[in-house]
Amino acid sequence: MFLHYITIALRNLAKYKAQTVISVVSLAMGMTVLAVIQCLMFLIRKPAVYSEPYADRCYTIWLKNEKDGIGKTYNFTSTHADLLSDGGGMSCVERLFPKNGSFESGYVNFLLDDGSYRRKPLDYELVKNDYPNYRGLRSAITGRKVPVLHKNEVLLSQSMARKVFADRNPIGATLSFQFRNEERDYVLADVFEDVPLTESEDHHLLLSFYDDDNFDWNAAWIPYVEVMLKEGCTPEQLKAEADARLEPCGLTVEVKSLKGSGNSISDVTRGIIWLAGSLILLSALISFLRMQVQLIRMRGREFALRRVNGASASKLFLMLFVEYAITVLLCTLLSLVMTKLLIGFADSRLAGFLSEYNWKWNGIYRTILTIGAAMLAICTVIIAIWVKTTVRSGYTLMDNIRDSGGLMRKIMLAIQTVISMVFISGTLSLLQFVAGESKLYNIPDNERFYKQCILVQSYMINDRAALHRELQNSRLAQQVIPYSEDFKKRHNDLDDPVGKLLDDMRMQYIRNYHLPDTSLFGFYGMHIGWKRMPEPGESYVLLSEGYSDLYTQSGEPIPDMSSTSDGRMLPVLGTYTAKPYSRLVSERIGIAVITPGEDRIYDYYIMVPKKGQYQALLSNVQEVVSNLSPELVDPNVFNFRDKIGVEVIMLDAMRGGSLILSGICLIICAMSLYSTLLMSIRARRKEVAIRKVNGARKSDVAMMFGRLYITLAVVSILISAPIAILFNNAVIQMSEGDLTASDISPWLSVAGGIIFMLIVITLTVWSSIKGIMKLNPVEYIETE
Amino acid sequence: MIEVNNLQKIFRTEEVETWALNDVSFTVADGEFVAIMGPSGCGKSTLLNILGLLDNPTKGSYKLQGVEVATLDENHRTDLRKGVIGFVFQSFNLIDELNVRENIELPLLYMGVPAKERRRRAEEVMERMNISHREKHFPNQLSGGQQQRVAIARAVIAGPKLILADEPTGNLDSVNGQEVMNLLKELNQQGTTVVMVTHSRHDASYASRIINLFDGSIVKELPL
Repeated sequence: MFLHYITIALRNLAKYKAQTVISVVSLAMGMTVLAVIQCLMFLIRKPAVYSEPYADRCYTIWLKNEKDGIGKTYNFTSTHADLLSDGGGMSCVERLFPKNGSFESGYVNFLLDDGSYRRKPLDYELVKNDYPNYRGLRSAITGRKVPVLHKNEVLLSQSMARKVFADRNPIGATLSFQFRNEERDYVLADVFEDVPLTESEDHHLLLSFYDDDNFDWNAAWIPYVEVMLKEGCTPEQLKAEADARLEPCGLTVEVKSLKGSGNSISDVTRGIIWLAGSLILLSALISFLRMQVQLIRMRGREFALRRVNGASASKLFLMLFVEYAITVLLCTLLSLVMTKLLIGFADSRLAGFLSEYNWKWNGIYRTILTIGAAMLAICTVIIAIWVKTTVRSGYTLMDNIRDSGGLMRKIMLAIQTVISMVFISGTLSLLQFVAGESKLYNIPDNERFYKQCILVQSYMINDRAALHRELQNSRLAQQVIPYSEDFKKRHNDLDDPVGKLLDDMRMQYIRNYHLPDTSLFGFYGMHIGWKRMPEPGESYVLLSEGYSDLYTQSGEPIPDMSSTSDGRMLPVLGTYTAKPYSRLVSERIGIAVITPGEDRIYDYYIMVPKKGQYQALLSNVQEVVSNLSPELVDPNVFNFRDKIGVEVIMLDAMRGGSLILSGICLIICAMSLYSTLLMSIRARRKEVAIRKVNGARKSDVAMMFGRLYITLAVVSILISAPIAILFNNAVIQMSEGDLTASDISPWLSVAGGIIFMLIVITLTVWSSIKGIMKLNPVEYIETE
Repeated sequence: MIEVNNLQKIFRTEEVETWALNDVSFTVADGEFVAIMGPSGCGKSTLLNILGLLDNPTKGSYKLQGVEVATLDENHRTDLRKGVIGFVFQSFNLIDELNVRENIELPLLYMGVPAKERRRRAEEVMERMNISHREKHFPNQLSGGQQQRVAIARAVIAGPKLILADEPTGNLDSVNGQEVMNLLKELNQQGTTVVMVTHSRHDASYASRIINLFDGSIVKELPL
């Protein structure tokens, strides 16, 4: 019997080839998308502290000046810290943690148990010794909360520990690195499970501080403090007390619950992302079920005959179940194959991006199998309901089928169309967002060139002079551009008008480039406005246009001489335009110190390969670095564009992702419309023939099939337009004020969505019905 | 009404060529009732389809109301058919998704007749066919005789000059068959030309003339 069902199932799948292929492909695409989104969901999951029992008592405190209005915040300094901690601290606060937003950078030497060591450049965050425990970080080894740190203990992230220690036990290992200009040794106390992407801010190493470490609130950048309230205390009490304490500074505070402090992705955003991923599968599932309902309808006579010949409800159920199970199995297998190909592609082409965001294909195959099982469960329930209703109703199967499902099928089709239209409109909003952001990032037109260049970080290599020589003499490189960058502390004279402007911009430091010549500007296509040309061998300074604009704004002349970060005074010979791939104001205000012929070791080398030599040069440089410093965990040789334009990669991913998602959604919707129409046409051929005999023209036939889709398009537009506008507004908010509705037009998105959808509906309907319009009624009338 | 000369219809496939009609010539006068008889596969239905402008002949001339229609394209044939020709089939060919009234109104719908007028004329013809009480019923809720009456109602609602009937009683019992033939006779007596394909000598006896076909050719014409 079971073999009979399998035979019937395979025969039916083969009989309705188009429907089978469309179902399997669309379901597989939906499953793959949802599985990938699940990986993303893991990266943006809720921070661990949210599930701590005290999470509801956790708040953040932000400084405000009432006169400045909302929008402007102040960093905490030692003055504020003293005011808040006077007299044993605030009465309603149980614990207080400064949130250190500035990371220390440098390279860390990891001493391994065999006496060798490995080196890795890392940013590390200075935290209070109980802060990681308070945040609920979990030990990747024991699964329990990480311990409160003792003095000179550090915590390392799981992904970094795996990278550095591989299979060795990292606990108790010694780490040495420079902290505040002093080389110190630390002990690795534990390895913490990787935190969500939105919470990590790239800190892989947490270093504890104690009161006797003389933590300098003024040197750190502390945008807010986190507090845990005592039991029974309210945020209102906290605000009142903090306001009173900070009154001498003329400041007030804004108190936000930790969950709403904006340092993690909101539930709504998380929900939207998950929904976006699920909607594709939903659309595919709707498409599949709609087709199944129609197929069942077309097979009404077969079911009726089976009933007449003794098929019980359970036998009918089993027969349909086998068919559905085979379809779900096929789409699950296809999804697994698609995912494997996708992972292979991503790992080979997007390695830089994936590692930058610590991306993991977290149990993706298991997720696909789970989705497959869930789909089978849904199908089983639907079959069971259908069979039960049919058998209990007492009507013949044909009657029952004919009377049910019409409205439901139309509603499902409408939902699919709405989903597609929302996706297209959403994509257009995101594309406008990406275009706007690209302008802000000053992305050059010839990105292809930058994608073929290499960036080498040299500062953690032992023999940097040797590296310099090797790179300069590389036969595979067409051009080698060395440079260093650091920050020059600006003069703090508030009487100086430019100083006042910088103070308003909260800029304590100015970016300082060190270059042997102007080739870096040529490489970036940046324009130099010379005041005068330098003499041969002359050292000089160029100001960024952003910096020189500040002089213009304040009415001050551009100075003839400028100090540099290494304390020299050099003539200012001109200005340079903004550097590509940066949108931060701080990146646009700086100076370039050009010192030709200076015997200097540079921190970075940009290498432009000879034509077709990119891969060879990359391998060659990696080998050179590995030979010079075999202890390096990574050779720190990067694709230039991937390293310098990390944010741009994110924009690329957003653009690519949204295009792919909406493309898939559109394809599924079009396939669904197409298969629906094909089946509808197949079922209504006789009707068309009769109508033609009774005077229907081709246009009447077209209208007969098209009317439903015209109605469908109108209903979909009415439903999806408001959703698309809401999404567009959310995208505008995502730019945090840099872009407005004129940059990301809701009307363009909505109109674009409508036009795209109408084109797809029209093309699909036309390609489906053009055959039936030419139907010769004689052929179908005679067969009756 | 109908003037057919040397009509040929050849069906070609990759391997065979079938002569469905071979030099068929005849005329049908206005108000005549003609029966076409012959064994299965002799070309009766093919001839009826050509007469009904559902198909074009391969060769020959066909004049309907004096107009040459043998070479018209589909759209022109459709336009010419509207309101001039009514069809009655052996298997009724009603649309399952439409109720009785909607099925009957169908030709008027494609002629662009307003809904009110369609309704009035449908009620009139349902009354005449004695199926008013079944107005809201769907085809699968009717007996064979009732379905054929609906099909005849649909065929006559536009007031056609010519009714083509393809074995109209083939699926009916004798009582219902009698009833349908009486209806066709009545329509003929009111001035409508009727061309009927049938196997039944009894049904053919309602006609004024019988054309006998064999292997695509007319072998005998008998006035009754």
